Amino acid sequence: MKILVIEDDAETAAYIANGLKEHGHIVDLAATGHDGLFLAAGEPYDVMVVDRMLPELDGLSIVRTIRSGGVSTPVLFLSALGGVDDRVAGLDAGGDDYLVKPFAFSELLARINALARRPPIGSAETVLRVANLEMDLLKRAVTRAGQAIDLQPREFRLLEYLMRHAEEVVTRTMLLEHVWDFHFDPHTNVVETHVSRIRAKVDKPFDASLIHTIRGAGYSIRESD
Amino acid sequence: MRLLDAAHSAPARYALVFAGLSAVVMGALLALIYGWATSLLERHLEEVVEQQLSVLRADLVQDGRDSVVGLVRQHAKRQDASPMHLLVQDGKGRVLAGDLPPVTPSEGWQEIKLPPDSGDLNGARRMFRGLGTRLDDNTFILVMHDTADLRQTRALLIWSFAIALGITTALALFGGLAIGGALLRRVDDINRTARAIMDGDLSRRIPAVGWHDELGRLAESLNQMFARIEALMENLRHITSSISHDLRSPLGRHRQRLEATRLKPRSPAEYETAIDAAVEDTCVILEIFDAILRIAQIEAGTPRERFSQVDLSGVAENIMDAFVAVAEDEGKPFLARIDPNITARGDRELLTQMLVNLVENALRHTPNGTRLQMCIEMRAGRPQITLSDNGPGIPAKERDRVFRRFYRLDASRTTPGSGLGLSFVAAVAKLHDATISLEDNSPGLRVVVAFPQAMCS
Repeated sequence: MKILVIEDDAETAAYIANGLKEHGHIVDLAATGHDGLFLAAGEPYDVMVVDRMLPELDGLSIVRTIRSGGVSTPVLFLSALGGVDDRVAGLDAGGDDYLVKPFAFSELLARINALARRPPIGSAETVLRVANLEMDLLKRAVTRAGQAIDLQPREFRLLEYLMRHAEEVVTRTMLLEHVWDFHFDPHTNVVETHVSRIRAKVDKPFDASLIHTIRGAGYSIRESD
Repeated sequence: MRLLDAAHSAPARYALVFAGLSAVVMGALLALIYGWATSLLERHLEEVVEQQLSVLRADLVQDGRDSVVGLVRQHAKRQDASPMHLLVQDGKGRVLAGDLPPVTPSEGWQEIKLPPDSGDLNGARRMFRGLGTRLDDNTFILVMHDTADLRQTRALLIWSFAIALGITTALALFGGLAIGGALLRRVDDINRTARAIMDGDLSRRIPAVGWHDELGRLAESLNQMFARIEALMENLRHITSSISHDLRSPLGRHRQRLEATRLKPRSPAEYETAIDAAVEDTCVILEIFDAILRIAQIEAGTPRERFSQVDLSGVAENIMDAFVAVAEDEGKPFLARIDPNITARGDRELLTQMLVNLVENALRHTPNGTRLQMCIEMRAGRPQITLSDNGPGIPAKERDRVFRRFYRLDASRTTPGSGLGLSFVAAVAKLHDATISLEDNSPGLRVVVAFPQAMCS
């Protein structure tokens, strides 16, 4: 993937760029708002990572500008501002996701992957498949190897999110945000508890596990190798 | 000293201006009265003179000159009883009768001045004013009155008016100063209090005088402001000490661990464990830091403009969905009684987090087997959230303190947690004008969050 990182803090920028390069992505770095806007408006990128507070031109203005120019590249905001208002302001300006500094690199990577692989608008999948696990979104039914699996509505939503991001890493916070709409970190093991319940229904009765725990990062649903 | 102070103060200036104005008005009024009074008196005397003259003339015409001369002589004999002085002269200017010196006869109003009476101790010149008339036989009759009375009356008027004016002005001045001084003292109280607060004594308040006037209300508002400042400063002091205490110790531990790892060579696996532990430590520290900032942001009273009608029932159901399973895993049945469509004005995200904090608090501080219950209902017209458990509860005297930052019951010092959960709850409740109370569920704890009555249905 080709990723633009607009970040003025050299150390953070290097940290992000090196990490992304290690994962095989091409990274362009811009240290100021003007440079960032120049690159963002001129070159095609798969994802942009934009810091909110930048010299010359702030992140919100950059994104507003490129959005009004018709650029629909997914944007992930990075910010040291973690207030409720700040996130809403970021999303209102045209951002697609918002990550508060400091963050774990695994979190950033998972979110970038999720943004890049977002299905184009309008393509409505009705059946999600991972190996022999099948989810029918219209009938709201889940089967594995032809065997019906009974899920609670929230468990269904959790599994759906995992399956929509099959093969990718999905972090705890991504699940909290998308399944429960929790934009904060509960101290109890909400995610762990529900994932283990789904595992008990989806994986346990069968010989191969599909839901994997990625240490220090999150979860991933994929066919075992 | 006090008076000098007063001279430099606004009330004293107002008192002076007020006194000056009232003196001018009073003076004008008195001058008017004086003019009216003296002209009335003069007019009256003139009428008496005219009347006397016409009586004498009529007498002369009717009874002849000798009769008049007789009358005048008679009058002159008892001159001291009457302010009137008469004179009758014949055509050659000889005085026939009267108590006035001879004059050059002339018609009309005239005045004459006489040297002082030999017996008059004052030695003032005597002044007369009167009317003269010459009859057909050249007899000249003069009727005059002594102006001493008029002068005395005038002097009396001027004196009494001057005294009245003086008293009024003095009263206005001193009254103004007294009232101004009282106001000044109250303003001074405010000033002194503000100075004391600036000098660091944040507990000072403006003394109440019991008058609910503008100054009283000002003092009240200022006192409320001072209380708010004190609370904020207290908060700040508390945060500072809390940060130094609650962030320093994990930071210290963090550093110790890293240093301990460096002490001797270790295997890569050991390094990896140490790094993981270090990352975990920083996560805890960041979490505490975030919580402090978030509470500070909410307490600063931020996002009310983003408030909307929040579906409390929906929020609660979402939370039940998330936490029933967690509670079950800990062997704690978690029940709910959620009335549909209960709404309150607020911020959905903050309310969600508040409720989650309460639920997690209940989960964290109760033993296995505790039953939890969440109720969402309308109670006395107010949307109300109740979270109850039958766990160990909180002792009555501790209930207020648990909302303080970093406060932890002795019993829970060993359980994980930052001690910020409930102060976050308190901050969110306050932002929403909701009251929060901890009650005895006997056994256990009941947390009741009551939102303000809905403005409109």
